[in-house]
Amino acid sequence: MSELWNSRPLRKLRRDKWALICLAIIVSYVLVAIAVSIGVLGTGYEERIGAKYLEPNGENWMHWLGTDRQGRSIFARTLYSAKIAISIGLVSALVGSVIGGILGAIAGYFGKRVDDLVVWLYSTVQSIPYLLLLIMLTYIAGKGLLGLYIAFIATSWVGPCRMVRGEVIKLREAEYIQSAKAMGYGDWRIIFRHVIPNTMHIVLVYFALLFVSAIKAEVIISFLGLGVQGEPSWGIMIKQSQAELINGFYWQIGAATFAMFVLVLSFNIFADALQDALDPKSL
Amino acid sequence: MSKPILEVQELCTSFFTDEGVVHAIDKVSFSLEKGETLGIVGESGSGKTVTSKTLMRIIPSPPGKITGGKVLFHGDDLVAATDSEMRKIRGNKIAMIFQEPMSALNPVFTVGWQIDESLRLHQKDLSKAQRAKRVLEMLTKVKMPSPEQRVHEYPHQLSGGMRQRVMIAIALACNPEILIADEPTTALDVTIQAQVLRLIGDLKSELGTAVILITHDLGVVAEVCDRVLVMYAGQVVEEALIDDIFHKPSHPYTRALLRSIPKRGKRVAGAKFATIEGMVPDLKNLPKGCRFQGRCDIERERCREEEPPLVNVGERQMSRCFFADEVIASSEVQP
Repeated sequence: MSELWNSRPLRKLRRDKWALICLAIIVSYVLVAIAVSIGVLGTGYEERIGAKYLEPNGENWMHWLGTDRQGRSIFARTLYSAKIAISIGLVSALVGSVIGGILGAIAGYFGKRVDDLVVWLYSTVQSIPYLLLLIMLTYIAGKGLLGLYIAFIATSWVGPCRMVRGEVIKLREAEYIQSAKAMGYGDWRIIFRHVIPNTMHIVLVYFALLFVSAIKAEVIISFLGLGVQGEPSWGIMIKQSQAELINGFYWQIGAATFAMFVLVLSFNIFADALQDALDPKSL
Repeated sequence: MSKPILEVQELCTSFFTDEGVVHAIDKVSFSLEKGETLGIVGESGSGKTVTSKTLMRIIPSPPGKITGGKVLFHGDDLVAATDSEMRKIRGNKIAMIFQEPMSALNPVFTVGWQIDESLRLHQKDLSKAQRAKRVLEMLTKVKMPSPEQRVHEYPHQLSGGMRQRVMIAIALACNPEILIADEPTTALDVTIQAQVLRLIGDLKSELGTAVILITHDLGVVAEVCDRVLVMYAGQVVEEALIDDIFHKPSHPYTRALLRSIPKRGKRVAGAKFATIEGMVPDLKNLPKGCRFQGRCDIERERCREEEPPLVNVGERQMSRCFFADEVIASSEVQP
């Protein structure tokens, strides 16, 4: 364990103050999401705690961010939404970049028919306008969280797949891959031990991009009424606050966008720092 | 003369491209004995590297394809071997080091990990501790400075010469019987070249490995090889012992190569380096007759009509020239 702790990437990361701050923020979002899942935080998001459109006040923590048009606590709803955002981001980024990375590496490495098939697949997915496809998939898979997962995974693998494939086509001719072949290593061993580790910088960047874009796409889908059902999410909160802003009720949209903004920003900064830290060429 | 460990018989490899079929090597035959160093010389595009990659069966396919011949390794034909049989031989029995030490190591793993990997795959009976010991032993053997520290370093932290030492350590970790070195010193500067060559020579005599050294540098050949194969346009044009190559070459191409080596002290002011005029013929579109026609200084009518066969022209010397005797005679007179 201490060996891992003292490894070069982590040493570099530990020196980066901003990265650590952002990591702390991401970790606290994740902790909130876990706490919401096990029912410690964010409970009572459906309860009426007072009059509608109450301004933020310090009465108790449920009132910190005021109430919405049904008198429900915006603070509780914002916390609960973190769970939705983190789970959507995590599932689509993780599954998307793993599937995309592996498919891209296989296509690039083997070439020929395998490559034709994968390229055909992602070109087809890519040729349909992204939002249209998302909407179609959520219709097919049904409204709600599961539909969102399926829709995001079905579209998110394309980016990393295309980039990894391109990189692998270049890597395939690299001398160390040639020499791995000359050492008698099998194709799968070369793909997983030699090729994919050399594309990790791409996969990591895509992981961050996909995480962030899934959270943002959730807002759009929920805004269109196809997203999460029966639970609050930042998208649903923004949708509900459409008519509020004009009357000066800024707190619902403010809370949702600020929560999302901080998470997205921290994620981007941390991903950037992680990329620098993992690059064996920089000191 | 002991039985050869490797016998290559009439090996042909072609590349099927959109522009036509390129016969990269054409009926290449040679043998290799235990502990021997065989040099393969020739200019760019003569088929040296394709020959070595064909032996290892790592020709990119398509477009490349072995179209004929045999590679007998202890009597077993490698051309006919299955992929999994071949993987057990590559790296284990026959290892290869590449030209470019800067890019031949995987940038994301430490040097130690990469030496360990071939042991992990080919020497499965070794324990983790035994392997770690062997990795250090190999680094010491290739004279890596402070091996205990270097073993944990990444390729980018090493110099070109050190990386080539690591390559040699990886190649020799499993004690292969044959080491194929494809231009191992081309990318290194001259002082490091000499060190690496000496290292290959020392390890060869220590471990009894046979070496196939591919190079375009006759100086390198003179230093380490026992026997030389000269290739031109995909064919072997001359095969001879090291002394014969330098003292009585039997093919006009070999003679021209020797003349183009710059000599110390002999340069007259204003004189130019001797070069071989013309270009290697297009392998998609070979001329009728001898492939060296147009660049040869003793070319006759017959050379444009018939293709010369590779024939014995002396004890352990073969030439692909109709007028080999003439070439030998002329070079023996020369000082």
